[in-house]
Amino acid sequence: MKILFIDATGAGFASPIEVAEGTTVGTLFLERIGGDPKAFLIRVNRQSATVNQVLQPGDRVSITPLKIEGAAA
Amino acid sequence: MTWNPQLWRTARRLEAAYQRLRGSPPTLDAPWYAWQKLTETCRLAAHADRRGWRYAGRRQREQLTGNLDYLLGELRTLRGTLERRGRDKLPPAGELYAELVAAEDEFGGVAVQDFELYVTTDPIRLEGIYLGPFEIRLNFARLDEPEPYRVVALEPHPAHASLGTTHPHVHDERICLGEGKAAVTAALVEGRLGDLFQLINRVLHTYGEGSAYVELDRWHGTPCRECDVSVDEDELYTCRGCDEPLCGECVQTCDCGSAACHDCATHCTACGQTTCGRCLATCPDCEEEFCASCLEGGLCHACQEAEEERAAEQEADREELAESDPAVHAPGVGQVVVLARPRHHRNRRLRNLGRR
Repeated sequence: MKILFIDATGAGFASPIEVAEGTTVGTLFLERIGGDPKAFLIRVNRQSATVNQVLQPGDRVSITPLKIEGAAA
Repeated sequence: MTWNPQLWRTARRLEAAYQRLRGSPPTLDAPWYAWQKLTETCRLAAHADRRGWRYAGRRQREQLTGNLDYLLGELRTLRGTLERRGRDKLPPAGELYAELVAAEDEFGGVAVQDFELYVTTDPIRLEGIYLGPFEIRLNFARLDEPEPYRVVALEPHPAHASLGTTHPHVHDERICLGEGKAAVTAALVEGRLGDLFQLINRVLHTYGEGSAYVELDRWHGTPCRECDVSVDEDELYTCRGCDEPLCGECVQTCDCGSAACHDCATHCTACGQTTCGRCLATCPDCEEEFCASCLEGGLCHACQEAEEERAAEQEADREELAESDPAVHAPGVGQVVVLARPRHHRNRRLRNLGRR
């Protein structure tokens, strides 16, 4: 099934990706990002999600780090 | 979800703003500034190493990491913008409305003032320093610009050394997003305004040590101009020559109590003691500068000795003259014996004249 995936750790553009039926938020996180999910804001369809939530076709998943280091320009 | 007609009207205005961008090519900004920052920090680090400023050298090398991350973020943004190949897919009002609803849920409200859409963060405290809440304002009349957003401190607690710096990464309401730049640019292009606000909010909640406008360990102090160490107000010296701040380790003091930096400090030619310009006097003979204790009768010790030698020679010459020609007597009233100066002394006079 297809979902829309937004990875704010990289370039940050929304990309449609293919995931297996029954994939959970936690599985997707480990496959695509890795590390401690508590260090990220994970949202499904613009709502906060838990790692156990099962994804549905057409879901919009965004993963945003809680810590993003700015700079001085 | 309760229908919110005010947010819907805002979404329609935003949709119209995005529609105006149709067909316009994406903004391509080569990261010259990030590159300049990197090369400048490299230069300063090398300069500090050459002068033996270990603390300043360490700080510059720490800053290099931040500068590299900043450049990488800018390069990622550029590549992402190129990959998008233009703004061919503009966000519809429905999507924008959903974004506004999400932002309202996350920030407790979304407001519009003129052409600015804004949310308010919770009060921010970093490393124990209270910075207060901030407004993140997006100007939707300037969506064609690379950074149509600004960050306004609602209870400003700026850095002591820079009143325009209200957050380690915000200066004059401009936020430097660092690692978040690429993601914020992508969110802006795609109309994901909830993500945009949240990303900027996360940057505001993070301290990037070594890459801040003002580091938090120097937030309440003033950096020493020589070594960059933060100094509290009551332990700060000010250079009498250039008015720059100095710490107790770097300051050079004169006997009169005035302070000077390395560049403005002057030294007595004879004893080498640090002396401010006002406490130095020029020897009229050799024209070098000396402290008060190295001058005698207005002359430096070397010139004083030369003067004494010259007087002794004159005296000896006079006596010799008197002995060889008894007809010539010591000068009487209104008379004076004029003797030639020793040759080496005349030469020095000429050198001094040439210097003038």
